[in-house]
Amino acid sequence: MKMFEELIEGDRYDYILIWGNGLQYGNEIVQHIRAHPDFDVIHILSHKPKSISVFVKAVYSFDYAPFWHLEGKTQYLLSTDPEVKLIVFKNNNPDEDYLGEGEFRHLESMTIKRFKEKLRDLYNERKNDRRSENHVIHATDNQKQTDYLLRYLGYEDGLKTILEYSNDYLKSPWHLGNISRYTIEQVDINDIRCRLIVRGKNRIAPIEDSPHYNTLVNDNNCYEDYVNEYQGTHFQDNHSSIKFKKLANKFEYLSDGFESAYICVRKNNDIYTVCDGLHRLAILKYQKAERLLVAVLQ
Amino acid sequence: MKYSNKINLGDFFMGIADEVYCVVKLDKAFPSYQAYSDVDVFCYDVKKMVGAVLQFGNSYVEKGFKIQVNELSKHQVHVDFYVPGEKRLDFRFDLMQGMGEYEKINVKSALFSSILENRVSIEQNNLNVFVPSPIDDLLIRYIEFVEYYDIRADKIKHAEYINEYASKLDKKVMLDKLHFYTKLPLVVSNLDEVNARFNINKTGNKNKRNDFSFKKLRRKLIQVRFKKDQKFIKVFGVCLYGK
Repeated sequence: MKMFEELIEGDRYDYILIWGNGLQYGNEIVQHIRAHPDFDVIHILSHKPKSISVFVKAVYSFDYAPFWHLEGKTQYLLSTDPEVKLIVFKNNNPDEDYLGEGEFRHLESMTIKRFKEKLRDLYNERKNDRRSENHVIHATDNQKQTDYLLRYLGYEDGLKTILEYSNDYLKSPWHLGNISRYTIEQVDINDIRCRLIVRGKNRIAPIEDSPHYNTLVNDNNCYEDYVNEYQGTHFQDNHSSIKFKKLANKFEYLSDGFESAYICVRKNNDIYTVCDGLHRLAILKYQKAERLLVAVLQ
Repeated sequence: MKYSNKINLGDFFMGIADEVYCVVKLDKAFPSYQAYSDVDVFCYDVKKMVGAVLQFGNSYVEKGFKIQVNELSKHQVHVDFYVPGEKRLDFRFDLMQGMGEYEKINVKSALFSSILENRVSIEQNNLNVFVPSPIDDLLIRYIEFVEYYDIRADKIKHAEYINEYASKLDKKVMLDKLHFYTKLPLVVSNLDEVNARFNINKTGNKNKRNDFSFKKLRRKLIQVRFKKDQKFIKVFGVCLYGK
């Protein structure tokens, strides 16, 4: 296991939280974050707190200012929908500076500060042609807040949980758990199934049934609709149709520099199910690949 | 000697010529190998080395081979090659980024980097390959012998190798380096062991005293004796006459 400091060495990870009153603009806000040249989105999570007041307190308890100081400012949140969206991203240009006076003096990323003001200008409710202070988003002042909130949301090792690969050599995602044993095999592409979400439920299906493949073959918005519907709930990694199409354009499986980036599968009764690499599998099917090398996880 | 040589080890080691590595306890037949054998490779970056083996192995997987990767620890990974249709291992790359854990001898971690820093290039069977310096080679074999001589009879080969090939000076230098980089592990002293056993016995006696049972109590209170076909019953110390 890597130490937290070792994992983040020099990098800074922040989050933007979209409150219930901003969720109608959720996808647009995510697109803004993705489009920011200094941010790399790594995780998107939709969360329905049991009690919005408890959750608001939890979020602000990690703030530099004591909660009693923020209580008035956050009163409006108690009447918002008890649903939030959390977008965690790598901040490649924090531009940190000290702000505030006395006991409220704290270090803050000016890049985030400018960006959150821009989003608030765009999406905060307007009253008498002026921006209200009922903010649609909340953003971190420092990286510790990201770690604390993720722990609060059940990520056992906080930020480390989502940053660490489940296997360093395969670069497999964190949610696959610790993988220490696997086999590299060549398999027929038709023997591989994928896990899809159909009407909110998991289904194992041939790759031809996936919105990923469908979009490539028919050049439609099937994949985009799928991502918009389930991102944050059924999958938390950062997927977007722009990213997918960009990948599909020049994709070469196991090319130089990616020799061990195998599609990960699990084997059950001679059928392989994809655990990681559905996008790549759809592209390979579209490229008419017949057999491919995969990592069979054990 | 029958060699498997289903995979071309020469190709692999030529491919990693620019990496910092050394092959430990190199077999004389190398790069030829027998089925079910392995090669121990020391390296600074085991992750990079696993990547190199997998890159090399991809073309074999396309031919039907299977490669099994087993991460024993952060510092040691086995990459095993299986021939198409075979369940028995053909060849193993034992990749190490540290000296590993020894029970019978404490080895300073700096020995590992010293071995890599002092590695030498040799030409064997028309292949250039990096190996530990002759002194380090003796040292590794000696440590291996000490660690496993009681459970792996074949490890005597390392002691024999040292006796056969090392000069008196080599042995001296090897022992000097051994003393610098190793020490014997702490063991439980006999006194501790004796005390531990003594305490067990003490507890045992105590338990004996407290070993209460109604059966024993009844036997103490009501005693039955036979004397010349007569039965005497003693209850609370009062003797009663029986049949």
